[in-house]
Amino acid sequence: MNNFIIAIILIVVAVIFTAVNSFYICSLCDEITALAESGKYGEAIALWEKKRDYISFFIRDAEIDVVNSEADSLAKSYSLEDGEAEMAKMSFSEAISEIKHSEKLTLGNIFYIDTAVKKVYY
Amino acid sequence: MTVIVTRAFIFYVFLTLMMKLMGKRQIGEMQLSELVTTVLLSELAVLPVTDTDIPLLHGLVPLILISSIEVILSFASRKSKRFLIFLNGNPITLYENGKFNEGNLTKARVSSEDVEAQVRINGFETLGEVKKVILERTGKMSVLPKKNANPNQSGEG
Repeated sequence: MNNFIIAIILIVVAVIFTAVNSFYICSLCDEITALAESGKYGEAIALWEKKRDYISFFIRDAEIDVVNSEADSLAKSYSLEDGEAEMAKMSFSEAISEIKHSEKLTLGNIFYIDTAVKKVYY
Repeated sequence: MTVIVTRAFIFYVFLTLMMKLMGKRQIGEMQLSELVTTVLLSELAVLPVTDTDIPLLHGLVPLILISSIEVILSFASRKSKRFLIFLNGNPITLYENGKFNEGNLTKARVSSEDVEAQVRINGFETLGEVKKVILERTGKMSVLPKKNANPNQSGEG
């Protein structure tokens, strides 16, 4: 009986923990994207760097590395021309969106191929 | 993470159904749910250990989920006979009073030769010494002798 109660508690905790974290990561990604799209690159990068370690508990290193490199490009884009800066902003937002998308509980994520693989095929 | 938890749950249900479909012969010493848990846990434990790209939580949370499901199913099986039968099936009589039960042999995907082999493993020379052979929930066969028959112990093993 004790094991049964512990198992129920563990399942409830695991489900709540994952749901809350997914929700939080999605809202963080929205926040970072909004900052980047409103032209506040510095704040977007700072927020990403502040939360990167926390996010890496839940997201594969490969996806984190992609955002890191896009954040570097965005940081350097102050000195770039307008077109290149726009590209860096878009790439950064896309990389953040990938993380957000991978955390969403959608049928596509459950049954279809990995988003990284999707990028290669489509 | 929610995706991984959902996928772990789907795999658990799917693997249980597939193992159930494959029948008792695949099970061996364990109950069906125990086998499914063992298969999934061993794989889940290996991936985050060997692949450092995968966050540790991607392995740990499904491990917790699947172990907990196993405990809950075991508890439910002990409390409800109907659930136990649904999950692990009933023992099946394969041979009784000189006759093979062909329907049950087909259902369990066991041949009459397999039954005869099991009878010999249990120390009997012929089926004539045996009253009943039952395929248990665990996948093992119980050989029940006739009243006057004694298994030949030297033939065991």
